[in-house]
Amino acid sequence: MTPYNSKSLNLLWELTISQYKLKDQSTFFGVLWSFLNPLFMVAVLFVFFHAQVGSTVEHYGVYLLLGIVQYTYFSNATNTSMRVLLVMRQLTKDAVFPKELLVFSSTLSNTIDLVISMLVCVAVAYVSGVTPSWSALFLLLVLILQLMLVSWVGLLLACVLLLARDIDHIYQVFLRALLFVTPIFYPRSFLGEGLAHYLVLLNPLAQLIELSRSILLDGEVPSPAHVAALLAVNGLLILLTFRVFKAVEPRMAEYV
Amino acid sequence: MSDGAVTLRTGGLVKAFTAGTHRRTLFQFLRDRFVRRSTNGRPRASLDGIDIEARAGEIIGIIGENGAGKTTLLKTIAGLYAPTAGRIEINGEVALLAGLGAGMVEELSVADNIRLYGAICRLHRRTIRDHFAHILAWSELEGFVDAELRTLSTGMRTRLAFAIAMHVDSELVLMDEAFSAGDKRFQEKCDRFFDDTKRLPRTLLVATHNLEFVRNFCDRTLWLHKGRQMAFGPTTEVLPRYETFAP
Repeated sequence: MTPYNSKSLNLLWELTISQYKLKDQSTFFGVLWSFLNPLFMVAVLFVFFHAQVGSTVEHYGVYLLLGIVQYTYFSNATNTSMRVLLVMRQLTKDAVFPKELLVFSSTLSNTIDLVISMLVCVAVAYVSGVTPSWSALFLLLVLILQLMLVSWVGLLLACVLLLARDIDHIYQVFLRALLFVTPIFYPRSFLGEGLAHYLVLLNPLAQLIELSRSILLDGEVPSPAHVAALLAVNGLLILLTFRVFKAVEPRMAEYV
Repeated sequence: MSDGAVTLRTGGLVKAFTAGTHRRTLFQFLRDRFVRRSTNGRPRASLDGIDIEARAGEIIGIIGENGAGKTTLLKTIAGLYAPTAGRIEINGEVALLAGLGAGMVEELSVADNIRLYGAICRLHRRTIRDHFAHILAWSELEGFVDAELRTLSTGMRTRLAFAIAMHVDSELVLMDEAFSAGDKRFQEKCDRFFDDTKRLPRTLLVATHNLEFVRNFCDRTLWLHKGRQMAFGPTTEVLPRYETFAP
C-alpha cells in the first residue's frame, strides 16, 4: 500500500484544483452558474409552495435556499465521486497512489462550491431580515459534517459502481426520491408523527439541513450531544467505507 | 550486476486474468456473488512464475513480443494488479510511468500540467517548484507556459511529460515504453538522462521493444514469452538469445 506523506497531500491538492478548474469554476461566472442552478430551483419551489406549505415557515425563501444548496452539494459531490474512478480511468489503472485521493479530491472540489453557496445563504438571510447571531459560526460544523457525509457515501458508491455499473442509474432514482423524502421545501411537522417522521430522523442529509436551519434562522447553538453523535456516526461510516474501498482497491485497475 | 541494496525481489509471481468482462449489472454481480460463480471462463495466466531481483543503481530491461506480459509485470509490481500467487518484496517507494503523460489534462495549461503530472509522479511540491524552469527548458516549452496542453503537438507533450518524469526520486521506477515516441534530438536527450541515472542509487525497470536501448543501458534483462520467464541475467547473455529466438 502506498504510504501517506506530503506527496499524497500535494497530489490531493493538485487533483482538487484541476477538477475545480475543469468545471470552469475558477472564473467568476463559473462560480455564479454553480449558484444560479440551485437558485432557480428555489425560485420554482418558492412560487409553488410558498402559499400553502411555506405559510407556516418564517423566512421560507432562506429555509428553501439552505435545503436546496445542501441537497445540490450532496447530489453533485456524490455523483462526481461515484464516477471519478471511471472518468479518470487512466489514473485509476496506470498511476501508483492511494485511489481514495481521487474520491476525496472530487469531494473537495465540490466543497468549494458549498462554502461559497453557504456564504451567500448567510448574506441572503441577513438581507431578508434574519437576526444576525454569532451562532452562525456553527455553520462551519455543518460544512465539516457535510464533507464527512459525502466522503463516506462517495467512497462506497465509487467502489460499488466498479462492481455493478447500473448503480449509476439506480442512484439517480434514489437522488430524485431523496429530494422529496428530505424536508427541503416542507417542514418536518408536515409529515405528522407517522413512519415518514421516523424515516426523516434516519436521513443524515435531513439531519444536517435541519441543523443548519436551526443555527442560521433560529440562532440556536447546536446541542453538543447531537453534534457528537453526528460526528461519531459519520466518522465510523468513513472508517467502514474506507476499509471496503481499500479491499476493492487492488482490483480497481482491472475493473475500470 | 550492481552491488547496491536489493530494491525488488519477486518469487514465483503469477498473475491470471479471467477472460470475461468486469462490466456487470447489479443483478449479475449479486448472482455471481451469492448464487453461482461467474461464467467468465477459466483464468488465464498472463504471468507465470516470475523470479527476479533488482538492485539499486541497476537498469533492468524487460523484453518480449506483444502480449508477453511486460506491462502486466510492471503493473503487478506497482500494486495495481493483485498477484494471483507468489510474492513481491519492495524496499522503497515505487513510481510507475506507464504511458508517458497519463493523467495530464488537455484543457489545463502547461504550468498546471507540470504541477499536476508532477504530483501524479509522486514529486514533492518543492521539487516541482525548484525544477519548474528546468522542466520548461528541457522540454523546450519556455514560451508555452500558459498554453493549453491540447494546443501542443504530440512530440511537445512527450518532451514535457518526460521532463517532469525524469525528476522522479522513487527508489524503484517502472517505465513502460516511456521514451519510444519523439524525434532523434529527444532520443539523444533521453540517452543522456539514462546515462546519468546509472549513477543514482535507484532501480529502473524498463519494458521496451527498443533493443538498442537495452543493449546500451540495461545491466540485466528479463525476457518474457507468453507470460513465462525465458531468461533473466546479464544483457550480454540474454539479448543474443532473444534476438536468435525473435530476429
